[in-house]
Formats: sequence, C-alpha cells, structure tokens
Amino acid sequence: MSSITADKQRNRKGSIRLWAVIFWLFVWQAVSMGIGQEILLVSPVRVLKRLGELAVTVDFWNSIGFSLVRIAGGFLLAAAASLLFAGLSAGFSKVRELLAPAVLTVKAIPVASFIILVLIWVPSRNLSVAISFLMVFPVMYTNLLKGIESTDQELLEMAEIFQISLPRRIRYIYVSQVLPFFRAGCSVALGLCWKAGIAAEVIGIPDQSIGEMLYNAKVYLNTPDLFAWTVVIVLISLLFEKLFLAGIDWCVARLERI
Amino acid sequence: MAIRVTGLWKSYGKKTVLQDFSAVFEEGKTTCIMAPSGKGKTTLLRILMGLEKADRGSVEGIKGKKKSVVFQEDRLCENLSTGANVRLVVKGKTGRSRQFQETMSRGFSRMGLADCISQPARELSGGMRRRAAILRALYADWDILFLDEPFKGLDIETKKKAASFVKEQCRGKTVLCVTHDEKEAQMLEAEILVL
Repeated sequence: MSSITADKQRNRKGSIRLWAVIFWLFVWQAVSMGIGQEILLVSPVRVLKRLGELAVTVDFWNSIGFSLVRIAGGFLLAAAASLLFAGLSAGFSKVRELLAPAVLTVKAIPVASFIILVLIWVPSRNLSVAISFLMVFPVMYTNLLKGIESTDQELLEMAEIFQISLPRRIRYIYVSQVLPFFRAGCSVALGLCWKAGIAAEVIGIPDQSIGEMLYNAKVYLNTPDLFAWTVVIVLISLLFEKLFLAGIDWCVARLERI
Repeated sequence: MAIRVTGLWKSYGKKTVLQDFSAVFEEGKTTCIMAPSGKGKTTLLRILMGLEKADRGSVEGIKGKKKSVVFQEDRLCENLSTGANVRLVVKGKTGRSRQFQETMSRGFSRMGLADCISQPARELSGGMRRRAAILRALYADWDILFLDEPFKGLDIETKKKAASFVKEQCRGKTVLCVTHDEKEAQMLEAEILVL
C-alpha cells in the first residue's frame, strides 16, 4: 500500500498544475500585448476566439476526422506490428538479428527524408498513415522487446514446472510484465506520431487535413489559425493518448480475470 | 518407480556444489534432504526438476512425470489474486469448477487464508505469500512435489498447521523436500537424507 501512495505522490509531483498553466497563459498574453502585432505573436484570448469560430464549421471537424483516422490508424498498425515482431524477435534470435538493422535505420533517418520518399510511393492522402507507422514502430518494437526480455525469469521457471500453456503464460505473466514498457512506449510514440504525421501532411498537403490548414495558415501568414490548429493537435494528441491507455488498462484488467 | 540419482556432479566456476551425489528416492514417500546452507540442496532440486543440467551423472524416474514445486522464493503473480495464482496452475477448466472452488476454499481455510482468496498477491504479507505458494503447489496436478525450504519465514504455530496440511495432502505421493531444519522434517514425518 505504501508503494501505491508513493507512486501517487510521485505522479502528483510530475503532473501539470492548473496554477502553472494559468501563469504561463498570463505570460503569453502579456508578451503578446507588449509586442502588439498579431502576426508575430497572437494572444491566447484571440486564439480561443478563433478556435470558437473554427469549431462551428464543418470543415474543422472534417479535417480533424481526416487526420485523426490516418495518424491514429498508422499508430495502431505500428503498435500491432511491433507487438507481433517483438514477440517473434524474443522467440527467434534470427528474426531479431534480421530486424535490428532495419529498426536502427528507420530510427536514424530524418523524418523529412521519409516524408519525401514515401510521398513518391503513396498518394498524399495516405502519407500520414505511413509516416506515423514509421515513427511508432521502432519505439514500440524496442520497448516491447525490452519488456519481454525483462520478464521475471523466476515466474517463467514456475510456469515451466507447472506446465502452464503458452496462451496462459502470455495472458497472466507476460502481459502484466510487459505492460509498463508498452505504456511507456505508447506515451513516447504517440507524441512522435502526431508531430511527424502533421509534418507529413504539411508537406504532402492532402485535401481536408489538419496539415493543409496549417499550410494555409503559413501561406496567408494567418497566425491565429496556426495557433488554433496547433492547440487542436495538442488536445487531440493528449485525448487520444488518455483514451488509448485507458482502453489498454481496461482490456488488460479483463484479460487477467481467471 | 523410484527416483534414482547416480554420480551427480555440479560446479559453478571453481566451486563444486555437488560431488558424486547418489541416492534413491522411493516412490510414494516424503524424503527430506538436509544440509547446511550453501551445500547444494537447491541445486540438487533444480537439477531434479530439470531447471539445471548436471555436469556429470544421471537422474532416472522423473522424465514424463508431472511436477509441482514450492520454490525458495514465493514466485506468485503479483497482479493476480491469491485464488487466481492457485487456479493458474490448474489445467483446463477444472480451476473454474464448483468442486475445485470448494476444495480450494477448504485448503485456504486450513492454511488460515480464508479471507485472502480474492486479495491480490501483492497485498499479502510474507507468511501469507508462503502459504499461498504452498497451496498452489498442492493443488496443481502432480506426481512429484519438490519443496525448497517450504516453511521459511513462518512462525512455529503456522508452520505446524501448514506442515500438517501438506502431510495430509501428500500421503502416498512422492515428495522431495530440502531444508536445514530437522524439526520441519519431523513435522512432515519424512525420511531424512543428509547431503
């Protein structure tokens, strides 16, 4: 019980407090008023107002839907693929050896190079799916593999002696042991996939995407739109992360019922 | 069929822990292997369970038999309830049957864990965890039971209760127990073999 309390206290220490957010919003407002030029730095009040104007338009929701489906789709595909390949790599050293250079290469190549290359291969509509996949896969794969390999050997020996079947081992031993690595991987990968996915859309400019909206804001020097869409991206990214992790926890809790 | 161990050798680097060890463990009997700490008791058990290989020697009479164990560490799944830890080692759907649940509840009561069946293992005290590990080993489907310091950390009264329950459940079955406490061997009414 004491460790749970300690965890809560640690989480509270690392969490974002409302007063701190309000402080930084005041700083933003003050700097913006000091500069006095919306094109250079728009005020938070103006951003909020612009967000309100955008939120009542159909295009706003269409753009969110378009980008959300593709970036989240790329993320989910990568999460599933990394789970599969991390499992195979943990079981077969040859698979691990085969994937190692590929994963390292994907990690090392700049995202802009990928975007341009993928743009040649796939239509710009689906560019963010591929980019999001490429950003997420190495992070999730590495984390999951580490998680599988750090599974408590003593528990695995216990499972071996009691001849616990592989599906049961996965369900009751591996899942709980790998979950913290999976969650950590998700947090990092989700941030990455949203940043890279939107960057891909800005370069590929698919119709009715958030990336196109950001591109237009850049072309017309529309700073309020740029900030409003940025706020939208951050909010969707946070909301998706919370929902996804809550969904994972719910699934694991159901899975571990015996 | 008896378990026949012949000329077992095991070293870790320069340290030899088992030196030409031979013994016969009769089927259907409880044998306590006794020795001071660090004399290779656990290593012997691990070799018999197939978790480690001996450098030399042979073991007959274990292959193909179903094994169960109380490790020196409790090795419970922290995320699962105490009852679920026991059901985990029960094959198929037997663990969910009403009959098994009733038998398991009686066992938990006998071991003083009646209120802990649905409690997560991580919330149990050291002594409770030990007893849960013993229950898990007893309720698994087994031909040979290995006990590695099974009553470690239990107070004398709890130890007596646990030993009495183990003895009752293991009557007529092959049990190999390692301990350095002669009283535990007596509680189990086991044959004693000094390593």
